[in-house]
Amino acid sequence: MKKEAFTPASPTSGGRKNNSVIYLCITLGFLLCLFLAGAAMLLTPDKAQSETENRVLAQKPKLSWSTLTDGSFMRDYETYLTDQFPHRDAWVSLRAGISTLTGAREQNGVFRTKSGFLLEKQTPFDSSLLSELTGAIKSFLKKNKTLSSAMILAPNASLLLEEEMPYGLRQDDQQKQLKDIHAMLKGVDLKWVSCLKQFEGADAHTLYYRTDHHWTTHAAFSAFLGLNKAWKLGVKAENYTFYPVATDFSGTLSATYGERRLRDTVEVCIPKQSCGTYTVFYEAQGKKTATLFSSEKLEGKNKYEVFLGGNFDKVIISTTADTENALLLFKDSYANCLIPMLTPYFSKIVVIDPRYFNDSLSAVLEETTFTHVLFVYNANTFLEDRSLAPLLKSAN
Amino acid sequence: MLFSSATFLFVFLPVVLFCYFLPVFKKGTPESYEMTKKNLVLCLASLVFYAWGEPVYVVLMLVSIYFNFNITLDFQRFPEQKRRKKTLFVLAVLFNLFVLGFFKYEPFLVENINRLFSLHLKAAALPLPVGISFYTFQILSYVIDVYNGESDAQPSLLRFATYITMFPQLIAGPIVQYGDIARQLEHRTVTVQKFSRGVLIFVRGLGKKMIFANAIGAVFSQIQGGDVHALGAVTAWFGILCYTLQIYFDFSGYSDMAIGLGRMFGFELMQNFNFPYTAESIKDFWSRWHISLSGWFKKYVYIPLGGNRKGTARTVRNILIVWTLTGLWHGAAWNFVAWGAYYGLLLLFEKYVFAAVLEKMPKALRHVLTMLIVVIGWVFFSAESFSSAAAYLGAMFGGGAGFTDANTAFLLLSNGFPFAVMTACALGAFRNPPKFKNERTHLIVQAVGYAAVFALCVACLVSDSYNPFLYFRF
Amino acid sequence: MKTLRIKEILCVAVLLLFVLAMIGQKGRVSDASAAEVGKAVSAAAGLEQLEVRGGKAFQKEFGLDPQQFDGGYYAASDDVMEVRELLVVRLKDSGDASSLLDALRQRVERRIVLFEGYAAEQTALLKSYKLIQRGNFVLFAVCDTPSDAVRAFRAAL
Repeated sequence: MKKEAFTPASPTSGGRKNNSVIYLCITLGFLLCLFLAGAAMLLTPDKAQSETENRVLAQKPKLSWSTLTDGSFMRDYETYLTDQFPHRDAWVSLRAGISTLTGAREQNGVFRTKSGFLLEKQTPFDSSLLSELTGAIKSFLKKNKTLSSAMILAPNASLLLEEEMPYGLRQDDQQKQLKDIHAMLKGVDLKWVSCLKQFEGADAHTLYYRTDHHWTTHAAFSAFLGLNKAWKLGVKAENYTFYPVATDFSGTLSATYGERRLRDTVEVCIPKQSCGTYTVFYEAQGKKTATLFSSEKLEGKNKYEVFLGGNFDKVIISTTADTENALLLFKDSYANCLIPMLTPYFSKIVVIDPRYFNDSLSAVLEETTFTHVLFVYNANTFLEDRSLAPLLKSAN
Repeated sequence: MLFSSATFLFVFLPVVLFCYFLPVFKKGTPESYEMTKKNLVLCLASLVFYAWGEPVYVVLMLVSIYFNFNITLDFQRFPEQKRRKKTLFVLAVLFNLFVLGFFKYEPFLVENINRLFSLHLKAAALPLPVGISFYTFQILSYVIDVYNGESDAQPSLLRFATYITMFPQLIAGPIVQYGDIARQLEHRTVTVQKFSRGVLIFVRGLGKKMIFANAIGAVFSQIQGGDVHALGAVTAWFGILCYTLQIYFDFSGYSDMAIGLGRMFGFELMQNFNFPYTAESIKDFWSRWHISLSGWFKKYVYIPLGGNRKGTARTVRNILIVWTLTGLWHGAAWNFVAWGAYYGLLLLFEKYVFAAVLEKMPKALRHVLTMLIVVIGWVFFSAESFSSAAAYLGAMFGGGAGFTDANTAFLLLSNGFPFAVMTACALGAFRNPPKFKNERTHLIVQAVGYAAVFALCVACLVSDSYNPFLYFRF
Repeated sequence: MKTLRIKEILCVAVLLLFVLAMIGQKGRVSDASAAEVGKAVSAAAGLEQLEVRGGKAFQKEFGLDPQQFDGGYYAASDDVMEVRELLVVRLKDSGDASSLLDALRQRVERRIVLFEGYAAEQTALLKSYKLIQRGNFVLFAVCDTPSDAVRAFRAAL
């Protein structure tokens, strides 16, 4: 620890020769630090992007009269220096390590449990936001009575690993939140898939990534089986196979926490060939593929993007399934790993991510005669969602 | 520019040190040449330093320097005509008060005039120039000293500009009185020993600011940022204690950095903090906290008003004036005025009512009482407004969510250890660290310790986007 | 004024001029039209590929009534992954624009939440947004060269 004071130099003590060597060392050491670090900053080539932080790093700002007089050059220059600091990641994890040593149990809002799981805080319940959202869902379903509807609201890891959360941390009880939302949705014929019931008996540690805020493909599959019960799809579990596709996934919670060692395995779950094939059309991007997986994302940092290639506003999946069923799916990223399981049971699936979708929902509804509508969200994002309600209202 | 920024540490400082110590004269050149060159480097560097954060307001500072430089020289032009000298002096003081008043207090003034007469005047509300309270106070001290004949007017514009702009103390003090530094402007030396002492003091200050103040400050902002009605008393107390530590380490860290940097350039700046949280009375506290400011107010306001020599009534008045102004100096808002008046009243109480009782009290009790008063004072200081201060104070006494709230245990458990270490440091537990028998070993241990502190500071600098400097409100 | 020398009078004059200039700068009123300014900024910042939109889109995106302003220029794109956008608003009164500024700040924060940790480029662009008020004009720009946008904005007023 830092010493709080030291006695000022007394004029007699410095005269001795052996001490003056130390003074010289301090002086030179300090100057060397400044000059070497300064030189290293100037000489090391600038990086465009930080893999761990998943963001673009600041580049050297352009010098001009206007950026100089409004001070933005100076601010940008400081950001540039700290962003491009040599061995930036190492310094950050040194800091994280030391603050963990001194008792901090949270880094940037992420907690680490004894079993090495990284967890994010639960979103608190905002009843006015939720009554608007559930109201919008209900009136949408009342207006589109012909649709069979279901909702998968996935709990978050911190609910299932509640006993591992740091002592003393109190947050809203998510189980109660889920119950309340369920109660708010009463009055329409919406099938509620209880993930907690589906998860019963499973080891909570296999249901979520340790380093990421998403659920694993296994958890999604349990939820899918729950949906099967609700909609009587006739799913046979043996028709599905799990394949590991990456073993070195270090997710967003890792980056936020400053943890650099933990790794997760990413698995995909695919229905057997005999269940049919499909094409995927990313409408706004004008991209057509024959797969729901983007293997090139496995090279990158965020390997969860292997599912569907990330989040897109609208994705249309046409399958060879022998059925009249067409599904409209409103979702957040939790659904991405679940979508491939759905393909044998619908001839068409239109996936809408309301956070990015800017178009007319009425047009989507006119274009296709849907038989089913499904909502797939995780509780944390659902509780603070502000885009689904306006979208559903726009179609009323 | 902030001392705790990468730009300062790894670009600005190395370049300035290099230029400052670069020998350009042959041996045997008069010392005055060398000093002129050093002052020139320092002055230019300081202007760049200031302009880095306040590119436009550097004009204001230059005008102010040039005006005061000339007008003080004029004091001596009319040695026989006291009235003229006085006119000049009044003009000079008005000029400086206008600069400070307009840029710092205009919006506050307009707001209160509007409220008082229910008008709708529009305040110009220009952004506050950094460090204006510090440098106008230095200029004022100079003007007054020269007028009183305590100091001679500085005949060199360069030396005067160096005194005012000197970057180590430019934006956060200590407020250097001209008399203390006049000789050093013409003559100062740097030895390796002095420089290395400067390095250690600087690193200590950097550590106080970056490792201690920023970390504990984050805890306070988290507590203060929430809903005050959901705040339990324990959490509220913990929060304000965190702020108590933050403001001390922040401000005294900045003063340490200034003193350390000053030493690297050969200056001896005055100590600004002397373990204020070990004080045993309010008077004692203010002789240990921001010493250069209390000294300034005493010398240039309290004593000219008559001090304590003109009877009790006048003394009471003077103390109240000084402390209201001290509050106002800290910020243009009523909560700062209240904070100042609070100390004024307490000092009066201590002086006239409580003195005898205080003497009989055990030391520990006196200390606890003093700290209680100081901590409650910080409630007013830390708040955005008077009403939010009152609400927070209410929460400290159970007016929020009762005794504890949902976060209390978590906050205490997560931050208890650093909090305890910082408290021990602030209370001076390591004021006299155990000395090794061998002075050499002692020095080596110290050097290694500070090297680690420096490394940790860099880690904080890189990983912290959270790096606000509290005293920017001035 | 025998007491004061010309130097000091000059200093006082410069000080007063400086103060007046600062105040003038803050409350400056420009006659330019929002569309002109918008086009100039859009050209300087390389935003011409964006689609210029009307008051309805403005109301939908920002939740503010366009009638309360004295004209505006809004350009954005239909592509969801395109976060670049440009808004120039001419205010009716050069004083208080806080509701507009707050709305824009909130919007950019919401957009950052949407893309953070998922789309790095978009996040970086959003984080480098510029929002400035100058007299009766407000500029909001998300683009690759925000400083060029600001410069063009200033020059166009």
